[in-house]
Amino acid sequence: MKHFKYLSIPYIVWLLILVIIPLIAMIILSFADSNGFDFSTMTFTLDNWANLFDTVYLSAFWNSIKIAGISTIICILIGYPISYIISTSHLRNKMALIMVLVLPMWSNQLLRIIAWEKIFYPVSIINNIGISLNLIGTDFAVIFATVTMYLPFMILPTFTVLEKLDKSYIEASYDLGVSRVRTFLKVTLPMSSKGIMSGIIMVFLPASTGFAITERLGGGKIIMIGNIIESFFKRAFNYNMGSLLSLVVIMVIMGAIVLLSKFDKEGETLI
Amino acid sequence: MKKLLFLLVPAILLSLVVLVNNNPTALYLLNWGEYIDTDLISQFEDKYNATVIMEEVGSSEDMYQKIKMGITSYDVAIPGDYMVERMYNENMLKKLDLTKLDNYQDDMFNDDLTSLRKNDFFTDNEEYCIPYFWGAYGILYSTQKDYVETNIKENEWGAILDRSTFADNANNVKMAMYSVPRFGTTAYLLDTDKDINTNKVSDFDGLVDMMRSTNYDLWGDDSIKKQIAAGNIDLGLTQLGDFFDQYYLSSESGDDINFSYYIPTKTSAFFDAMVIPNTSTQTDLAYKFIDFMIDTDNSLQNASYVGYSPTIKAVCNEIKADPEYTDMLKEYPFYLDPLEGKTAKLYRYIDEMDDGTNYQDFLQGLINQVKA
Amino acid sequence: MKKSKISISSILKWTFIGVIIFILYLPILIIFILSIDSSKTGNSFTGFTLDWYKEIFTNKSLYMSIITSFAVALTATCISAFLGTFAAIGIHSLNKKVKGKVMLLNNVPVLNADIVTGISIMIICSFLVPLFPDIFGYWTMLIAHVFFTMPYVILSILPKLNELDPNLYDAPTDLGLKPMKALWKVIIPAIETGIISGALLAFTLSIDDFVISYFTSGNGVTNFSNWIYVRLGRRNFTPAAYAYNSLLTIVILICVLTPQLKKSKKKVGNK
Repeated sequence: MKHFKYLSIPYIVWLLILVIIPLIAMIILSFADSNGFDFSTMTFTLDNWANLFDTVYLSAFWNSIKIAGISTIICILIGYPISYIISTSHLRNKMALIMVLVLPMWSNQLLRIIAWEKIFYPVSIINNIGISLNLIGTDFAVIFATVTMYLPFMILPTFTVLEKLDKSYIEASYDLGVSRVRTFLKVTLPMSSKGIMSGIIMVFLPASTGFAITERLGGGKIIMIGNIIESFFKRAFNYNMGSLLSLVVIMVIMGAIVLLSKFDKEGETLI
Repeated sequence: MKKLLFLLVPAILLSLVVLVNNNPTALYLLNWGEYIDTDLISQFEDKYNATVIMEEVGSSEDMYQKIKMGITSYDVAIPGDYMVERMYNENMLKKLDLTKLDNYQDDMFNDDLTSLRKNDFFTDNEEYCIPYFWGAYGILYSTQKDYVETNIKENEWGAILDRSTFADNANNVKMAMYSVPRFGTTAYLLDTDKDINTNKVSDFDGLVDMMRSTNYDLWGDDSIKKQIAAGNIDLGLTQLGDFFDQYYLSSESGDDINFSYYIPTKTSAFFDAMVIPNTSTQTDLAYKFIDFMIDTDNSLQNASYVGYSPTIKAVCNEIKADPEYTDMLKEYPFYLDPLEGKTAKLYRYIDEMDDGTNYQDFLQGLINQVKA
Repeated sequence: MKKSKISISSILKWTFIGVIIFILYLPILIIFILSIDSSKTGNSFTGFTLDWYKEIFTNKSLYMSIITSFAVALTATCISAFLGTFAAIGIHSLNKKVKGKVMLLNNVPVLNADIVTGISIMIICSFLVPLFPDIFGYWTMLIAHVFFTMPYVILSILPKLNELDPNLYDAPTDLGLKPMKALWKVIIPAIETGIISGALLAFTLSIDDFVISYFTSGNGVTNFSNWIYVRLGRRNFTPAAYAYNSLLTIVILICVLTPQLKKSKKKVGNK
């Protein structure tokens, strides 16, 4: 099989070009004051980096971590039990039930966000059945919608891992007289932790860096780092600050990847 | 792997459809969302046997970026006034040969607008942009609560900047602010009697405190008019065109019209204009398109679809003479004459504050502080 | 086989799952109701209509955006699945150290914020605009989609490669088969499930993508999510989008559940 290692070369080159070159461009932009990508009129400046610790950005970072963190924890508390219940049930067709839970993922995310808008605004179509909520602009609305968007991403990996578990370990534990609760804590949970890690990554990362949910449901009052980066690139045409913040996001995420690769040598935790 | 072949066939077929649909001799039009009657586009395509590909953006800044990036060679764009000025400053626009426009006459546009363009805009702007629609800034409000209208008429901009002007009702009223920084900051400058085109940092003192204590219930753009129409929000700062836009939409939907509009005595005016960027590849077709759009009948049709105020005098006269519009004009006279009885100026493009910070960044920074 | 007990804990468990399913499907239900509501604003229910379903086929900008979504998703999936398989085999054959580093690079598009990935591709492609003036649009979207889906394909295939019996390659080559043929006839069929699940994942991510396509569209080419985003809250948004989405959801529901239900019928039949 060693023979085939050369097959990986084109892909490595592709990755290097598409990952490294933009990175370099963003680093250059972050140290400059330019008019978009116009490299000819760029001037060197450290102002962007100096402004990085402005309360606006710090509070946006904190908001992102807070909201994504709470959403992720809720996803674990709901998603893992669901996977566990279905996996340990005696249903003939567990996969079908999982598919039903995961199906909403294939419905366009923006349309689903619009639907939540209708539910959370006081005057909308749901008044026809006598309900009127007023939750736009609240953390609750954003977290609730985030959880419903990303729950399938927690259910899938945890279910896969639980299904693949070698049940003989669990049976051995029961045979040795260990209680069900302790078996769960000492055997099942540790053995399925890889799935939970996958789920955490697939929920926390997009939730913390997205902007659509907060833009529509946050009433413009809840600002996350994704919203700020989007406004720099799309409204203020300030690619410099935008690149800088993107770099910070990349560095935080890369830090997480490096930690992850120490935790799992194969680099396969994700699926 | 053989199963992948099943996917490959539809993949290639559909891709071909997309690629074929992309016509290099097409006219690329960069416009705001829903800012043109698409029927007119079909008419234009039929008349000149051409294809028009329209891209839509949500802001003048987006428009500037898209043209600057050069990703698409737009032939006609419809930016806002100060963006036209910026593009002119940066040599992004073609000078228009007005003789190529059969429908163009020297005195064809609304007098108030022409006076603003002659006195308060960059010189020779007549040769770089052709007005499309225009209007003023003001306050869109729900008519379901009487005290809202009363307060707005009394305190004008103050009503939308300072929640405490609502006294006893301060905690009940739902207020919205446009997310484009310049709109909100302009309201403050007008309220405190400053020049809307000032670049002095000190002129903005007090803005953050006042607006932050207001604690807006909603920051948005198009969502504001929708939510006011729905009754979720009581008042918001918007452009005049947003009112009529929502008026048309609500009328079509059969919803009640529970909202109205107020233009403060001192306000800012705006106009959007058709320009031909330097990157245009189908320039002749671009001229034909602009000419087509300033034809009186076409412009009239456009005006009945887009809620913004028409710029062409002949169109305004037709509307005044049309019995279908009589009621609407009686109730909302500011449709054709938004600046009647008001003083207004146009936005100018401002690059930097007096302390060297970038103007846009400064305004965005103020708004970020308000929201924090 | 244990008899299924109808205990309190059982009722609680399944009610819990039922409630979660209801919450997950609530937006989809609302989208469906809006698709048959004759009100264009969706603020109240003004009557039944099927007009929006008809409009899917008459509104050119809408159906072109749908076709674009599918064209890009299908093509990107084919390319990612095909090239990704070879890349995965190549990576699998690398020595541990190099493999670790390559996987680090591979995981960047997966973990990186959508917005940063979108901006990165936009940066690279704008450097190519002088050479290929019309590159933006279909081609840039395709490059972007291949870029962010191929890592997922590779992550799906690598575990399967790890599970392979190493003799699977040696045996056929010992028998005289050329390496590439051995690959094609023996190894690839063995990892087929990995390729298919990778392709499915790639398609799912691509068809619903919003942020990355937002930055890589141009020349009048947009995908469905972008079509919606530009029209959010404006008059040229039509409930036909809800109609299309509802149709898609129903079709997927049928496609996904029928094989599962057939499988369970088979199981029962074989007893």
